Amino acid sequence: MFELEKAIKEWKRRLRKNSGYEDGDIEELESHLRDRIEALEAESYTAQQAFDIAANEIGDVNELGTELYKTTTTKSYLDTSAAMNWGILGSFVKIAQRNLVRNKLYSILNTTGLVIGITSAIFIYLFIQNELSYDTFHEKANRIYKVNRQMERPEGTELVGITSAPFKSGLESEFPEMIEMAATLGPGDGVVSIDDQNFMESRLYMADKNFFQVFTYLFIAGNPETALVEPYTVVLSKETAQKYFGDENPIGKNIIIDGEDSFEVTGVFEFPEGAKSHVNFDLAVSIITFSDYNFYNQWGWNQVHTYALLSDGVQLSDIEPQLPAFMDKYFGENMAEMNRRIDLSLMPLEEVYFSNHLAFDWQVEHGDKTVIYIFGIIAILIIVVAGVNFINLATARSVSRAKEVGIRKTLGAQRLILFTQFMSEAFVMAFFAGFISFILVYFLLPPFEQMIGTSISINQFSPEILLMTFSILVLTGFLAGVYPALFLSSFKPIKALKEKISFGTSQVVTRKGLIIFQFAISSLLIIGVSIVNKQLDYISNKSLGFQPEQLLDISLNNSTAQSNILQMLDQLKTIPGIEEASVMSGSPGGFFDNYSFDVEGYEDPLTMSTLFIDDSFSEVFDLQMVTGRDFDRAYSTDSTSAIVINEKAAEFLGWTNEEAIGKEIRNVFTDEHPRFVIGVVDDFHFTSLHHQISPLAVSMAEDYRNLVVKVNAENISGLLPQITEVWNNFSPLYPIEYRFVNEQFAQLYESDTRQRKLFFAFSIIAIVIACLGLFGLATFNAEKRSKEMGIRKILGASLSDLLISFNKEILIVVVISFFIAAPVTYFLAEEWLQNYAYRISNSMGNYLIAGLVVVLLAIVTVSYQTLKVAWMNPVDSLKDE
Amino acid sequence: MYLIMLSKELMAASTRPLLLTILKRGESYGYQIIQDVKHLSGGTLEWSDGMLYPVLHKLQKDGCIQSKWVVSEEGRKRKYYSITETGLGELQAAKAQWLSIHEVFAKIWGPTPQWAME
Repeated sequence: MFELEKAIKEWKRRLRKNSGYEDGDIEELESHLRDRIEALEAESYTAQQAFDIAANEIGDVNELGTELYKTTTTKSYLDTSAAMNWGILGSFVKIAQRNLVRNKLYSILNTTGLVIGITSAIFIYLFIQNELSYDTFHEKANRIYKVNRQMERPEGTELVGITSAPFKSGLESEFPEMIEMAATLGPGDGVVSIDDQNFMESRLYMADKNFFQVFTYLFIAGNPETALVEPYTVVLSKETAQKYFGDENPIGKNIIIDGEDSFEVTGVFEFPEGAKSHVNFDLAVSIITFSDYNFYNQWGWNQVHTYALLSDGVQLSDIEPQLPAFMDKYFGENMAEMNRRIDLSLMPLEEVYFSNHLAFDWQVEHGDKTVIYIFGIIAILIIVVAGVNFINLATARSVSRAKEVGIRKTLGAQRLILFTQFMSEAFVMAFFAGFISFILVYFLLPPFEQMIGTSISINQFSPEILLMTFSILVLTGFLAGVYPALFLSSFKPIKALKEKISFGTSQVVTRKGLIIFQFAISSLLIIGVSIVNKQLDYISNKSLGFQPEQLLDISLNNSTAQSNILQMLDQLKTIPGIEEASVMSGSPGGFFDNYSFDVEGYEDPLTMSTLFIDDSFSEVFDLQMVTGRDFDRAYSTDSTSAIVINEKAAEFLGWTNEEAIGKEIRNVFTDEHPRFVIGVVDDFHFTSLHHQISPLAVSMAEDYRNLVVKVNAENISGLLPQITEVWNNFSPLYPIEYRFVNEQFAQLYESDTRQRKLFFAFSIIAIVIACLGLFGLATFNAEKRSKEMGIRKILGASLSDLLISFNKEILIVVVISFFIAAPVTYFLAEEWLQNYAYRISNSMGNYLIAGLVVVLLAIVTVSYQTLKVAWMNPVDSLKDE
Repeated sequence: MYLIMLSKELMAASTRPLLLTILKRGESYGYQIIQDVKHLSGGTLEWSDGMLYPVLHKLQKDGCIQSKWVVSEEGRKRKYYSITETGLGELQAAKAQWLSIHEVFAKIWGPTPQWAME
């Protein structure tokens, strides 16, 4: 049964197959066809007859397509006088489009590389901008300085992030001209009760009345200048206010902190959208509430961050020379007692976020400037590799278009037109890549944020990013287009048509140079990744000297828990599965005190890390005594006159382990009388492996800050409910806060791990792009040399001969690039490894393996094309032409 | 009446003025134009209908005619062409050329060529 609509549809499909038909042509012809069919049907033909006659009358669709194509295209090349108007640009874009569609593999390779490159570069840019945006939202940001203490230590100068509260008023009264005001912020936590509800707030800080004048927080209720003037006042973040009071106005309401004191809400602040700050708190109570406390009055009681707002026009260099005198005046006695100098140093606010080397910088969020540099460099490398690729492929391929150029020229195309033509092809592709990249960035942003562990507040469509991308695209497009545009358009048509055009030596050298460059970067990244991986594996697998998997560290965060500690210990030890429990001042993988000691045989006090503990500590950590013994409750004098040191301390003090026994050591601050060394214990890593094990002195004292429980490793999670129950018996108000010590250590390497992931990802990207480029060139080479291979094969070359002859060139290039990369990488790796006290050797092995990987990668990349050519029947490659 | 088949070259040269002449009478669309041509030529100009379109497009590109889409009462979309000033100019010029050629041929192929009388 004949169906007219179906027949028409089929007829239209044939039309569509021919590229000569423009939009509308087919519609116009269809309407013609239908008119004719109607007329014929009226003459009482059947539908099928009418269709056949009408279609036949319209004629051969391909011939018609060719004619239509002529009316739209040829004109541009013949009529050069009209060619250079704007209208022709459209036809260039169209031709570019057609060329790109025709050479799918080439276009895909080339755009993919560029897309990946641009996408990565945008991501890295977003990351860097995000890092640099910290603390920039404060109006007076360029006048704000953080007050740090600077201490001389045996290892060198150390910057300490925390200060005591009196520094604020001291600085204000001593430098009234230079310091407009100073502000204090004390990190802390606590339990907030409203009616019957309790909230554990881990970001409950203390701030003085100046804080919100120095720093710009947006107050949606209350007055930032007066909010914290009175004792027992508190300022809440918008979210916290909502959590506590819903939609009610929180101003004037009261909250109870730690079950004791009532604070009145005097302000609600909002964090500016997308703003990032090195300190983050949800509540700030007025610090003056605690004016009776030690930390508020004593200079040596370091617990808060102090900030100075310099007066307008005052430079850091104006005030710095006067700081030593300030310290002499207020801190002189302390310094004399400790026999070490402590100085103040002011750090510009913009540097605070990046000052991750600061000691005891409590609750401060830090970034790493090195990471920014590394990623900045990687971004540049990636974009350069992608750009080089793009340029390389475009140039290589352009040779095969020499004939096209010859024909165009014969038909009268001027050089300028050809130039424009090649340029527009490169630009069309580059901008297409840019467009895709932006879409990719949009969709990949959430996983990226997850990967870097922070949210990005910068908009991907910000003018800087658009401008940056635009410049990259223009530059890449230009470089990719300019060579073929100039080189090819300079051909004499007769030469282009008659002879085989090949690259001159200089072009081949340039192209090889570009590949060497790309593979040098790839080699560098591969070696880099392998070294970073090895180092981080090394750290995470290095024995700490004890078993962190078995340890649970419970923070004794309130006085109730501290006063009930002995009963709590007793109860805990009765739980089956708990092997040992001990109370101590330090937290494994966390904070340890440093004190000055008077040491026998030394005139001046020396600084060592300290640990105060209830009794035996070697058992809980499973440590071996090298000589002597551990503390023992049986000796009543142990609590007052015994001290245990680690091997490092013995070495530091210039003793052998045996000599150390019986020596006198006195903690300058905590002990009246000297203690005698009763034992030397194995070294163990109580802090991050970034640092060397420090000399450590352990003594018994009632300084209970952490409860360390050693449990049966298989059972650790199963015991948590029982442990929590015991805790709740003795500390009902405060929820238990525990950490697995192995996780605590893992956290120390969190930023390393994150960096490793990022570094790995971006390196892969750079390598993939380089391989894409190599693949493209191999394809091009294979095409060009297929006849040569055919002849070789006929003359008896074996498959391996062919492979060698084909891959030799590429291998040489890759090997050269490796030898360029290796020394550069060696130097960079040395630098990076310096960050670690315990590091792998920067040995040749890494380099050899990486070199092998690069060569293998290159071979795998080109082998597909090589094999294709090598396996080809020589007849096929030789017969045409 | 016997059929005269025009040569390809002559067809190509004459189609443009022919189309312009038809459009000078008023705007029209492809199918209608073809019908007019067939009708006027009495079958002398026999070409495949489709080949009209490249010529129309070329004319439009050269600015001799312009086009617009119109939806007819029965709901069919048609592209209507109409002649422009440029087109009128070209038609005038073409007409002059064709007429002068016609005159020459009329003279030499007329009943008694003048040179034959001498």
